[in-house]
Amino acid sequence: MDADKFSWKDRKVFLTGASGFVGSGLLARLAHEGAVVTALVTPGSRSLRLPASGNVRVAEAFVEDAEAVGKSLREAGADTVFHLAAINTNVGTNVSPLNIFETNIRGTWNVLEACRVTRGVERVVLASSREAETEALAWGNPDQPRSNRKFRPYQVSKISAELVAHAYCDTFDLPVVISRSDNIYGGGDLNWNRLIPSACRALLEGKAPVLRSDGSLARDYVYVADMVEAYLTLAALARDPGITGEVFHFATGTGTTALEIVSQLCELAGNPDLKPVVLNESREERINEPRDISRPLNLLGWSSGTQMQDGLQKTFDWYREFLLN
Amino acid sequence: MNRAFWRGKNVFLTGHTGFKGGWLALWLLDMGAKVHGYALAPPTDPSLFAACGFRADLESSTIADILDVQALTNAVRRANPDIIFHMAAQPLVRQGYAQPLETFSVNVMGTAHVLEAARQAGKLKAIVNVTTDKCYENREWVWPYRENEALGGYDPYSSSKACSELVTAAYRQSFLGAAGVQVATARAGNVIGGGDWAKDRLIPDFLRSMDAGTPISIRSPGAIRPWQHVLEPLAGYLALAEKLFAGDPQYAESWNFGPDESDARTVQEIVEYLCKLVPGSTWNCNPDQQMHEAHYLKLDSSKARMNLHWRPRWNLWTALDRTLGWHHSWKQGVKMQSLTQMQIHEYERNSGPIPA
Repeated sequence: MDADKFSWKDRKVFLTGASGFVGSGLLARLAHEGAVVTALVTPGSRSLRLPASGNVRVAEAFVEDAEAVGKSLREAGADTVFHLAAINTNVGTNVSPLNIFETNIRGTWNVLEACRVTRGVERVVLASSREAETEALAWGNPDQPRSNRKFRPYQVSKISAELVAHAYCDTFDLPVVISRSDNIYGGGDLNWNRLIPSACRALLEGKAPVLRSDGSLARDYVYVADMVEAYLTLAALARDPGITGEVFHFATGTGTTALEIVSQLCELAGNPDLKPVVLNESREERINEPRDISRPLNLLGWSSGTQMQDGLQKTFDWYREFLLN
Repeated sequence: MNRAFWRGKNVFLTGHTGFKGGWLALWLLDMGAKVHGYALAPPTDPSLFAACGFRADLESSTIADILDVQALTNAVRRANPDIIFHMAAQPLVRQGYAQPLETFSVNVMGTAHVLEAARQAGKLKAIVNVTTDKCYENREWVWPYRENEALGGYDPYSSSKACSELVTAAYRQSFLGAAGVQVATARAGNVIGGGDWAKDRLIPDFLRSMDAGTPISIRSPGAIRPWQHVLEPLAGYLALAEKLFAGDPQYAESWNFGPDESDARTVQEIVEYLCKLVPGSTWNCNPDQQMHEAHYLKLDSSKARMNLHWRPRWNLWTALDRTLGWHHSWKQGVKMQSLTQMQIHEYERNSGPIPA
């Protein structure tokens, strides 16, 4: 299958997490491509940003509710399912991880079970996380100091969700593909704890951006439109041999430090001499090695098309529009 | 295990109406522990729970769903246990194919609920979460699997148990460890013993065929399985719980309790041996193409041997003999709690298999 020839026109698509940052980007793109989208949102939630045009139906259900998810999927009549709904934050040591497990693990098997028992589902894309790296599956190693054996609830929920997906794929031949990604940025991200949204907002308010770390650690940032493209490609190829059941990590292969990002944003804001406030409070816990990007390129033909500079320009423009108008 | 340790200990046991849970309940009772059970009604009829009639010996027996967080939390709070054994699960691989949703819910969220409820138990010191040898990612290789090997699982049951392992690690990391509660997971394989009436298990299938006078039908005669008597891993769980109770976080990790390599035998070998022991019994082969047959997954139990001084005591042939003997006694109308206790005492006296 050639991903470019895959037609989204009039295709029935079921999308969970449609009101999230990347989900809303995916929703807009699917609508733009002419797909008939059923967007699953949390009942009572008002955060869904409907695209200006396109064929979008909103369905309300908690992903934790197997019956409601099944009913929504049946009514959607979709052949393509994107499961993006998740709690994407960690909890501290004194907070119960039960909610994360309910939403991220139970939510995943509820969606996959619905896909299994609903006629006509042909491809499923599951959004996972870089935190579900396979190395993390080998654990409990007595040769390792205890401090190296971190099992944060969010990470556990994502590893578990992937394991559930593999079981559905291997056992029931459900064509699931899994995406992992690094930091995704772009217009629409309203998580103000993240570097780029908070820096944009500070600059638009005429303040200096604040860095919690020392800002020296380079991370891989993928522009949201590229990630949306990755989802569409994954779905298009999900039934191909060698793709079904596989995990793909989407990255640019290049790291950028927080200091570099902030300096570029200062320039975009017309204030190139502004210096960020460096709190140097939080210790970076992630190890960031440049990622090999050949696999998604060779197997899916995907690469990150947006240069960081262009991505930041578009992102800053979006926040200016969003915050000042 | 140390019998004196268990005297008067308050133990909360999920899955006490099941086969393995029932044996553990009987063992704990025999050592003088106060046992609080929490489980659904016995999964089979007959059942070990009914056959041994130990309901009256329990401090409490709550018949409720592990997915009912409120009922579970209340039960744990009331029991205020020193030690929790979590054995309530959907234990059958084949059932996982038919009912994946139930399998995932019970095995993954059930574990989360027990660990959540554990926060309500003020005196609690130790939790043993019982998973399975199938929680490892099966690499189809010849070497035994160690505790630090990657988790995985082809089918819903195996996958659900890998998730249960991970959820346990998250709770340990999140707050149980900091609260001074030591949580470990225990991984064992197929167990046999009297009082198992589950579907799709070789020994219960054989006993049913034997009682019905029909040949037993075998799906995969060449499949190798590690066999051990149910008392073997239970002895490991008890030894582990004793260490956890003492508060040493070194033990709050995962543990394999596998049989000796010489007891890894094909299904056909087992069936032929049983047919020899039971005159008149016969078998035939009825291959099942539907189900994925995992390559035999061998456990490396060096860690339990070294650090818990645990080792298998009954070889396969003894285990089969005691299983048949238990079943025979049950049919004769013997008082099964006493007979089960006798088998436990015999096991305890045994210092280990005589090297060949």
